Amino acid sequence: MTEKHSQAENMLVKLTNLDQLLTLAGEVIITYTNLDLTYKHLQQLYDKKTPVSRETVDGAKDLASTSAIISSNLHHLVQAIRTVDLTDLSFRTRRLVRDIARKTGKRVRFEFEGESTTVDKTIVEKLYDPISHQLRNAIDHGIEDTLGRQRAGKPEEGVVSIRASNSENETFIEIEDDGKGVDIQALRQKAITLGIIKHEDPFTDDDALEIMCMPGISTTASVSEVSGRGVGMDVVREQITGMGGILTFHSTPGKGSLFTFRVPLISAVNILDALVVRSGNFFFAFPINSVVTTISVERKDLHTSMQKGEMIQYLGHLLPLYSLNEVIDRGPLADTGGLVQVLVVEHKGFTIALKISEFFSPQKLVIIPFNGALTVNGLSGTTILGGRKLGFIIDVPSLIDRATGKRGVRGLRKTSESAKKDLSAVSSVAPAAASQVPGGGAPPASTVAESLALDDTGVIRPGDAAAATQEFIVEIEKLLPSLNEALFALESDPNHIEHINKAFRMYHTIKGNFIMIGFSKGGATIHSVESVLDRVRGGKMPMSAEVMDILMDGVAYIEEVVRISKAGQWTDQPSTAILEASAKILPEEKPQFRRETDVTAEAVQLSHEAWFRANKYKKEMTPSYMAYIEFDAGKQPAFLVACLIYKRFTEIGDVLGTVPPLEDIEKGYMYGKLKVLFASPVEPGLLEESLVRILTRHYGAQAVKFSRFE
Amino acid sequence: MPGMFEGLKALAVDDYENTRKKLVVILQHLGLQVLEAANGLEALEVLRTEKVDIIFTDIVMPEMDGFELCIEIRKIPELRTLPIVVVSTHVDGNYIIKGLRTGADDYISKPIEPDLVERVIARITTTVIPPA
Repeated sequence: MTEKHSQAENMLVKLTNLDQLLTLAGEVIITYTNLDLTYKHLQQLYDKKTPVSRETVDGAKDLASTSAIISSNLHHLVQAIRTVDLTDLSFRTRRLVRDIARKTGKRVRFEFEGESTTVDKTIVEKLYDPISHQLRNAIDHGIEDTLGRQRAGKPEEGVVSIRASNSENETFIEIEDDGKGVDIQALRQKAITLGIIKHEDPFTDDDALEIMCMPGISTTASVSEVSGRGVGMDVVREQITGMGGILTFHSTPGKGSLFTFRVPLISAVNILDALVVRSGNFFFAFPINSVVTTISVERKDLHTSMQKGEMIQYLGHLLPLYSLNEVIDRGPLADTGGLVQVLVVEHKGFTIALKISEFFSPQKLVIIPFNGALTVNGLSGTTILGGRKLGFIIDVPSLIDRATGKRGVRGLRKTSESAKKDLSAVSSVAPAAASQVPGGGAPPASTVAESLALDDTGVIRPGDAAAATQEFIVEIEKLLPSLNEALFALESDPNHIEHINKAFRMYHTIKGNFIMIGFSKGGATIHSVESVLDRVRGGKMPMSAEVMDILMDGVAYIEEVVRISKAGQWTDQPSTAILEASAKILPEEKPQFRRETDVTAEAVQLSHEAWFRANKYKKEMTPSYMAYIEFDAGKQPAFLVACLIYKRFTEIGDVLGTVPPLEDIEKGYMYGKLKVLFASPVEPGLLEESLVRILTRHYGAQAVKFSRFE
Repeated sequence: MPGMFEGLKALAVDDYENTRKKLVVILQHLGLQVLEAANGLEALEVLRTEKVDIIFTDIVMPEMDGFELCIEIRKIPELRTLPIVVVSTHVDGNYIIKGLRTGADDYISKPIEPDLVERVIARITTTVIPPA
């Protein structure tokens, strides 16, 4: 269980909800106590062979109905806690529509109805992808260009709308456009050509959708031409059905199309497409996307090697063969004779074969995750199979890890890329585009592959630094809704100074947070957005479409950073698109525009990597120093001289960080005061004497202060 | 201080003869022996046969510009530490940083000030820790 997973699972919970939860927990305890008393009373009656009174029966009945009410309340409350409204989704989709319209050069008005609809958090996250697909389709293929709309006698501005609502069991997301609609006749013709229907057969919207969703067909240009849609429809439907939902469709040629996503309110969270197998007396469910194939082999076809144990020949490769029962500590599998049943599973290019007793057909199962989302011995949860039998859900990554670890071959045969292709080509069970294992279940534990990748890149993050990073990321995340709000308010009223100021402050704060956690490139990206806003604010630049684009891209970039950071995977990267777009409209930055900070008071910000080096020097007893230099650059720019001084320090030691940071110095952020934190093995007296001499004599230093840094 | 860098040999690279001559005069005044080149390619040609102690180069030149010259020089193992000073009319920070990134050791803006040239040569030819 790695830390990043537990962090990714965080969510903000309303305090009132937690209070209610506590109250309900109290009621559970009271009910339990009463139930226990009733049981003891019944036991006494039984022991004394006394008949049970009406009163006792009624009491037990009351208790039963009380616990029913409490259970139901608890269930609803927990559901409520897991839900969020669609405000964030509406912001994201509005920005997306804006972006697509900009790229396709179409005029589109976007409406989002039902922002207050509450939906389970994991579902909202999963909805974004299919919605964005569909919005792309609607604008790119549905909405006509201006000329086309004029010809059709429609208003020049196209309309795309999303309506969200909840019924008792389902969430409805309707995506509608007033474009040219789907060419049903062309689709019908396609169906006839393909021999799916006959000429005289009726052709409904559902049939049309079937054709649009045919993989392989829908992605070809021909259908895109005839239907004006189709690109990715199979993917959209797969994502919806993957959540246990349904995709429906209605189109009026010339008038537009309506696509409806119907997804279950909650249950989808914990539904898993799985292949169920029996191994000895136990039942196990494998997520279908990790299953490569199932095979039956003759005993004589198994290979045995002294070092590697049993192996099986598969598509020209020798795969290690393990007994599933043994891998998860359920004892050896009794040899029943006959064919050996083998299941081949894969995760991230690692493929192993497992001996089992029997296969069943793939099915949808409800996951009951283990407490605390832990993975226990290669298992991630339980499920109830038909006939009320208990099944265990396999966590394939940790299972592979266990299996290979048991045999002591950590340097596992990683199947080559070509072999992987071979494997998937014949894969009889796994669908080509495997659907994601729905969230809510246990996340996969870290795998051999992942830990190796970590070793290769040598990424090491100090734990406390990572925790601090998460804190700042959460801070940034909290600001996002208000920033989004300010931007959309600004879009509808571009010269409202209050909105501009608000957006400016938000960007400024977020930039500060970025810099605090050492995301200097991210900070620079946001800085450029902030600079653009600053000029608009100061009346030096009009609030143009270009500016709006930069502002919108800025928040999209921040959202991306937050999302990836929460999964612990963000490395500081700038958004070149934003930097370039803002560079185009900003005048060249001159150093004198920058404000001066108090260098003496500011602490050196260490990057994660510098932090690591600093710790290493500490362990090696290599002394670190803080040098404070005030200098007069004379006839050269101060930032240049600061860069040269920086270089001098690198000649005698390792510079861990500076104030201002090097990136800022290079941008001209320098007023003749510089702090350098560095480590050097040179004898302290000589070091200080030499540096003071060279800096004073050749770099205009007027004050050089040295201190040992602990 | 006239003649203070007696014994050092410099290479002045500039396509514009007037500025190059001015630089040559300043350098000679400081005691350096000076070779000349009109662009990066010519400079590399000179460096093939002559051993110099410091290079002053313009940025914008035909054939091969100053940045490219820096990059080419740093590719030659013997010249990896040869001090290079960029001399340019550009005061834009991006140009200066680009110069430093491509391998230059210092930067002087035009018009050239004699005492800045002196200061730059002095700092560039001094090591942090003097050899014992």
